Amino acid sequence: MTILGKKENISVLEISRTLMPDTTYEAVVLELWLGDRSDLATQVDRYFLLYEPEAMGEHLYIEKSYSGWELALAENASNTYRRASQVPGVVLWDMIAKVKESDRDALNHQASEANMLNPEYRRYGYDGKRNERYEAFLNAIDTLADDYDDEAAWADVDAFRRIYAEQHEK
Amino acid sequence: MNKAFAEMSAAGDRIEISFRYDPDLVTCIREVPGARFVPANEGGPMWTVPLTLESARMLNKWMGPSLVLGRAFKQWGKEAIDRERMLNDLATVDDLPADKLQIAQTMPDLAEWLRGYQRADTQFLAATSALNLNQQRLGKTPETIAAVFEAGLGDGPHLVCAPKTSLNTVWRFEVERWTAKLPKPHEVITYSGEMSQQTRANAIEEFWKCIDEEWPVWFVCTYQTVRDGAEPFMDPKEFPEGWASFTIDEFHKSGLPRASGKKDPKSNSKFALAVKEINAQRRYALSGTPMGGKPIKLWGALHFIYPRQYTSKWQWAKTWLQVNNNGYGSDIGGIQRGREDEFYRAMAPYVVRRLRSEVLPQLPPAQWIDVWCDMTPKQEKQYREFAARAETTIEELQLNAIGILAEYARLKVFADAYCAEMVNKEVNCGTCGGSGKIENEAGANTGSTVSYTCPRCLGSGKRTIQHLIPSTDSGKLEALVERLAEQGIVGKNSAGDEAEGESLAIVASQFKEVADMVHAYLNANGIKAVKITGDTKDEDRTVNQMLFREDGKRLPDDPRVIVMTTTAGGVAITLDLVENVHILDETWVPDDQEQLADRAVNTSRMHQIGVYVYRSRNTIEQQIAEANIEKGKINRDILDLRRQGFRATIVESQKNGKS
Repeated sequence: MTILGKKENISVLEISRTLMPDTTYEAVVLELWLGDRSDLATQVDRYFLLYEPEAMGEHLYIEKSYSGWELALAENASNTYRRASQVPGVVLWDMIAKVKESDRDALNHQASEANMLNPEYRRYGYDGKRNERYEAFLNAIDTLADDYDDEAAWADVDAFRRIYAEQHEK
Repeated sequence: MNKAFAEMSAAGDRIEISFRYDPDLVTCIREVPGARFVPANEGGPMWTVPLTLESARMLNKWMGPSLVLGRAFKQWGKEAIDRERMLNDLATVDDLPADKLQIAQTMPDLAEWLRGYQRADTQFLAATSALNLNQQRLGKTPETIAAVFEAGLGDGPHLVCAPKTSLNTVWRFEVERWTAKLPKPHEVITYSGEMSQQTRANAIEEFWKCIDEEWPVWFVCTYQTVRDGAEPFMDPKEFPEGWASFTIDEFHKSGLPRASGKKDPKSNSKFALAVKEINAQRRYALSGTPMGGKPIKLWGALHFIYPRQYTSKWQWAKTWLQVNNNGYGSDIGGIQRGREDEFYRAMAPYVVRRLRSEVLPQLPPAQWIDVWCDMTPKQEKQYREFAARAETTIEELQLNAIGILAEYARLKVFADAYCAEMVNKEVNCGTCGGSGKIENEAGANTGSTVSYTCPRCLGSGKRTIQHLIPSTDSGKLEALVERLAEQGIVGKNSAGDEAEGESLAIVASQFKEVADMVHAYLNANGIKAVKITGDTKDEDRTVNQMLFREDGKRLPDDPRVIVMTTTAGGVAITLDLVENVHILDETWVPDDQEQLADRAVNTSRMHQIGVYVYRSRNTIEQQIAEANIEKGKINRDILDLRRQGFRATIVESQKNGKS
């Protein structure tokens, strides 16, 4: 049985796999993370899986939920997360260590940016205007790196940097 | 790597760095001490670091090619580098002609009187708030007064905070001396808690009168006055005009070295919190022995002169010093290996430091002589007994640092002399004030308090203090009398020896009881001696001091020995006729001994000072000597060797036109 991430950005690293002597159980210790392991924002968790190989299929899929890492038997399993106890053949599925803690500020930066640059979340009013200006500001930084005298880019920089102050002047 | 944009914050105290999220850039920015993330709802997402050249240099080191600099930040950087260069150039000037100073026009006497290096220091100090760490007796006080005038801040008002002993003898004397010929001679008001209530009220009234009449005034007070902050002019709301200059003299004796930068009075020294509130255009911190072997002690003074730049003690410590986890917390050690030159480069724009050997090479250096003494049999027996007992007490009761030091202090007295009497005295516990309980505010908002049993007296409210009364049964006393006799200082009833010459001597001990015993012993044996301890009245202190000063009037039959406690005699006392200093017991801080020996230095008189340090063999004093050698090495390495190397580099680059 192989253990795979349900999405591409999920990484699974098997640390050890042992057939428990005098039993029908197999024990696996594995590390799981989302995205780039070296990114300060990335948290790496170590899990322990104890299962009965006879009762399992060829693959076991892993998905990230709000409460932790969840198991599924099929790649196209619904997004309704299943408790590990509901996966036939799994005897134990538990986090045993946090191998790498995520830097909360880096995580915050990553999440805020994803939120601010996602047009689906763009709303009217202050947030919408701010997010638009933020996108223009990031583009302006790239422009200024090539042409420091691009006044239009400077205007975009000033527009974003001013918006928070303007909001608090009101 | 993505590109990053760095700009100055609107408040002008941080550098704001914005970029499209990039793990590499986040890793880089985390390398800069004091980096903080600003979330979207506060104007981010972006990161900020303190606005200092040091932070800017680190950003450049880690993110250089990716950085796009904002216009205001670029301008600030240019000005900051120009200023740093200007201060570095000024810091390497060793001799400045009088006519190069502005005060040559207004105060020609002072400009002429200052030595070349003092004029150079004056020019440097006039340009910036700074630490003046020149070695003792190099004239830090007149330099500071001159700098205030050179900076155009002469009209004041000026606040000076200094040890009680120097309020009149040093500050009043110097300010009145140099401002006497000005159209408005400056008023000097000295103030300390030991003055009567009426005198203090008069002093305050006089101060306000000067302010109302716009008369230049110097308010010279003790650390305690500033720490209490009870006077209205200490409060920026009551005195919004603030001070033109604020000087802390001998800052190593104040609460500055214990400053933590935190706002909570429980985790910061009260003095450091009080000085933070005081509004002043220019700030100076003075000390010839600023570190006591611990470089972290400099942070408080740096925070005092530039609070917006030196914001966090731990951030500074982690940037420059070795911070190790000792299992209970963090230990702060010396400068990180390999960063010594960088450290001095970062400090140079804020520090003036000169040694006597640099500016007055003709002055012979003090000769330090170790005198190893054997204890008398009775003394040794007592010492060994108490040493064993101290070891058991420290182990069994798991004493804290204060308790251990108290045990060591006791052993030091036994190493000085056999103590025939030990008087137990019951006193109110200082920690709980005698109540046995300590009340603590549970929370600022609730205003409720919780009380717990005092850990010092275990709820009894009383503590027993043991006073050791040393006897003359001492191995050191014999050695001292021998050395004094070698210098021609003998008693009238000494058999065989004749008093010779005119050399004078200081005899010092850390302990008042030992000083009292030695003073009584010398007088009883016909060697006339006077005494300065914490108990000596101000008038007597001045009279006794004048017997050992060049500007005093000595008669041939006057006492040739002055016995002092190390702390009472350590600062603000001049005894420049003395030729030999006898230190009966070292403190744990080598700077204390250095300060004491420097009382005898006279920069206008070529004389060799002998400093005799007495230590009893196979006692705690051996460990103290070893610890002090290590601390002294750190002092020399950080304050002097690296600085000399740095100066040499700057001077060389100036010669090559690269400055």
